[in-house]
Amino acid sequence: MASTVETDLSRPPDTYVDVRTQELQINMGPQHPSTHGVLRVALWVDGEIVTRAEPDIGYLHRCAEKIGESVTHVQYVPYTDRYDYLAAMNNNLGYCLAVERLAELEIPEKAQYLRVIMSELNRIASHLMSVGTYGIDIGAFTAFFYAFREREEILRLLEWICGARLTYNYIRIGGVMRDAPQGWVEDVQRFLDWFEPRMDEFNQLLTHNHIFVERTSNIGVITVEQAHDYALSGPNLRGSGVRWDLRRDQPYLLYDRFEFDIPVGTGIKGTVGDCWDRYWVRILEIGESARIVRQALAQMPKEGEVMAKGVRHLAFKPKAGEAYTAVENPRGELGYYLISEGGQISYRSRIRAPSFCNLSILEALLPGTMLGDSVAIIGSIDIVLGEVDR
Amino acid sequence: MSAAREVLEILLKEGMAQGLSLFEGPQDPALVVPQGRLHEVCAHLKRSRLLAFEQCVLVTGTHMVEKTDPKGIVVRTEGFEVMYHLRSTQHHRILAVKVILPAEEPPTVQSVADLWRAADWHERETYDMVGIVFEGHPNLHRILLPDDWEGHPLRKDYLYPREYHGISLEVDPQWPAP
Amino acid sequence: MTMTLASAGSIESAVAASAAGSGFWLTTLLGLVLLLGFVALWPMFAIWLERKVAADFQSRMGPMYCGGFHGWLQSLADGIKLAMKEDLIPRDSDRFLFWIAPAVAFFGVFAAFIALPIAEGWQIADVDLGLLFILAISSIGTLGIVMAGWSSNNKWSLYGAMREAAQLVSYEIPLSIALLSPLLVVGSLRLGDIVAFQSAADGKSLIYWSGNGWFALYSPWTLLAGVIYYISSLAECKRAPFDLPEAESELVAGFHTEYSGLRFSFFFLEEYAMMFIVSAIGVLVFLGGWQPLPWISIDFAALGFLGKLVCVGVVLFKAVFLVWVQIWLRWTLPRLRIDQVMVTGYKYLTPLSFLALVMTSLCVHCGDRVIPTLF
Repeated sequence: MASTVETDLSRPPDTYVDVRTQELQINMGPQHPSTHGVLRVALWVDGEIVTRAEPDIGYLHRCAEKIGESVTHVQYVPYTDRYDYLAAMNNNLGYCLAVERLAELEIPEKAQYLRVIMSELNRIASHLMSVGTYGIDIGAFTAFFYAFREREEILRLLEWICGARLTYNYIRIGGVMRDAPQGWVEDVQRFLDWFEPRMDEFNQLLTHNHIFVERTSNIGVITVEQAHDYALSGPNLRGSGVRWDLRRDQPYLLYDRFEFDIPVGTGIKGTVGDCWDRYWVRILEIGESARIVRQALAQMPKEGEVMAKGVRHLAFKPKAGEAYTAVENPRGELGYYLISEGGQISYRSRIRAPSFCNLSILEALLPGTMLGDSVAIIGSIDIVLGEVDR
Repeated sequence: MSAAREVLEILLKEGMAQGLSLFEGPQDPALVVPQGRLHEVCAHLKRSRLLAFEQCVLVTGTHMVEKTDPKGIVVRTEGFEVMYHLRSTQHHRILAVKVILPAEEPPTVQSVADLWRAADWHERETYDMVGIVFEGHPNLHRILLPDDWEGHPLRKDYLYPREYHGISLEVDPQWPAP
Repeated sequence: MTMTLASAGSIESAVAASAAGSGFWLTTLLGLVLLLGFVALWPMFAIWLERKVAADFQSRMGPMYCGGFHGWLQSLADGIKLAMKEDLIPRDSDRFLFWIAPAVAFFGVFAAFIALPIAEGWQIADVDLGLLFILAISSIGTLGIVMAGWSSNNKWSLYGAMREAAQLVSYEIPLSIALLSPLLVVGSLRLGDIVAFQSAADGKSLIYWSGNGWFALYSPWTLLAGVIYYISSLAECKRAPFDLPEAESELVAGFHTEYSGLRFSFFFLEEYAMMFIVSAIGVLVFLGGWQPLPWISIDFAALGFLGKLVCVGVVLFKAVFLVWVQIWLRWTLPRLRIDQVMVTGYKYLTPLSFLALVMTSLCVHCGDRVIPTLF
């Protein structure tokens, strides 16, 4: 008699044993070398693959917005340095532009040129820090030192003009703190001439290194829809191919007088919007910022006022109103929403931090990747916890 | 500059402008949307081709305390305000949307987190700091402050707790009270 | 091809021939004392070298202060500091394993030195299966590292331990298969014989021409085997680009996160001693051992004690050179992800090592060196 037992091919054989017992819940941070600050990412991992990720922020919360309602506008400018401490000039600039818009102040031309030069130098320094530490996250230690060697030069120039290396308080309401000292402009020119060949060296070391490309391409791909959904801005948005830059599309200061390109990610090493694209956009932006600084140095008037007339620093009162002003931070769109009632202290000062929005994409990007990739992805988003938590 | 005037005209043409008004304001004009229509209007703002506001850049909550000027006229009414700033990269516009909430406890407004994921964290922060409850939000918990913190710091009548888990938070009596 | 020379210079056989017991124990004891001294001093030098070489690549100076000349006593100062640190054991850790893990890791590497010759006849134990013994014993170190990661009661250390186990075990395969290629040609596992083959000739003079030359230059297949051996040895030492088990930026410090003080220094000793072992094996098997030049060989047996010292100098120099290349690679290349490590090991290195082995065996069979003339 033929056997009546039929083999059910859809059922796994009885020798198949699922050895997984439970998911591992692991904390990345708050003390971790690669989270770029006090960030905790709660990961649920299945072996090496992340199944769920929840960023937990607030470890660096310093009541910035409450302080904004307690001190005067002029007193608040040094506080703005401390949010994105790697791009402090841009923070200063954003707040001062917001207050000046409410007060309808005219800024003298030389001050505007100095503001542009400072912002762009700080952009170069911030991007160098970002790509250097990204190298360390991936394991290439030497690239970090090369990037920091150049950054030291920029910090020396900034210290020369305003006395501080990291938190400058240089861009003030009404203009800038003081004029460039004698010899400073030539030194910046010399720095740019020395610096631009160094980027080729850096690219040779890290950017085109096969292992680095393998680690970062096709990882953490952000589509354009996702980017808009999470309100990404800056290199994160441009890495996905969207050519949006506030310096070009909503010009402030004198950016319409300069010629510069907006680099976007094109997916040359993998997919458009992967980690390598974001990193590559930052590298190209360093070159573009150097271009802008050269043009600004050439166009800047030799003599001129650096502070607007009639700004009563000890009793500064903008007009009543509410306005949202945005500038292009190295990390994205930095905005200040101020509600002023015409007094010395603003009624509400809200900071739109780019890293706050950029960080929220982690809960969508990390699941499905490996643990080593999560480090690469967090590094490519380039967050600074100072402005995430304020 | 907020494009509220332009947007209001387009909304009038597209027939979505019931109940909407314009807040002229000395600086940025804002589109004032009544509380019940927020989600509808925002969905239209996102999906309409002429408007196409793909990014929700900022969500702000403010606690408004009643203020009368020396003549006795009320310049600021009691309540809460929620401001949404939306950006359209296609049409190069930024729009300020204002929702005025009465002084009830807790102040509630519809959540737009399902339209823009960015609003998710911003709304959590607004809840955390000002205490505005967003209906329909998937995960409305405190984000910046610890989960067991009491009070909403950005309220104008907020008093600092005197101690937290054994850590003393005595305020210096010289400093002006919030 | 000539087979192995009689190990005429071997102390062991001379002593055994004299059938005296005390001579054997004395020389072994002397060897062990020297070995202990070397294993204690070598990491000091290696760490200083690493710091200076790394600094040079990163356009900075490295240690300059401690001890005067380029900070040569820096490692000693660091060692004293580590010895004075508090001995921390995490509360919920497995105390016995935590305590014994560094010892096991270090033992595996330390014991491998016993069969390592640094001159003809100068080894502590003349094991006939020298190469096999060294490979086997150094694998015990893996056990210590997995114990360390497990017993730390730290999820991140566990990750380091798991990655380490996978990586080290996987790379044993191409390592061993790559070493088989020269072995096939020589026909003996004894390290002294392998070096002797590379300088073999019938010459009676002091300096003579050796037809064989170093195995790295002997035939393309042994060169391939040499390259595969070197890359696999990087993985065995957990050096970049395979330094996942101690990936600093991902796992804080991997499996030795919870270790501090002297226990931590044991892992460091183990790492640098392992670097020396694999470099020394590479030198002995592929780079001609104690012969300074590839084809021009020197008959060191005729030079007596001074000749042996020259041999030691040559071996040390070449081994330090290979260690320097390891340091160079570490500070230049980024780190591979674990699945990329596995892919490199299994999909690329293992088949290539098999290819080298097959081609070498065909060459040996046909008596040709490069292309086996089968037909």
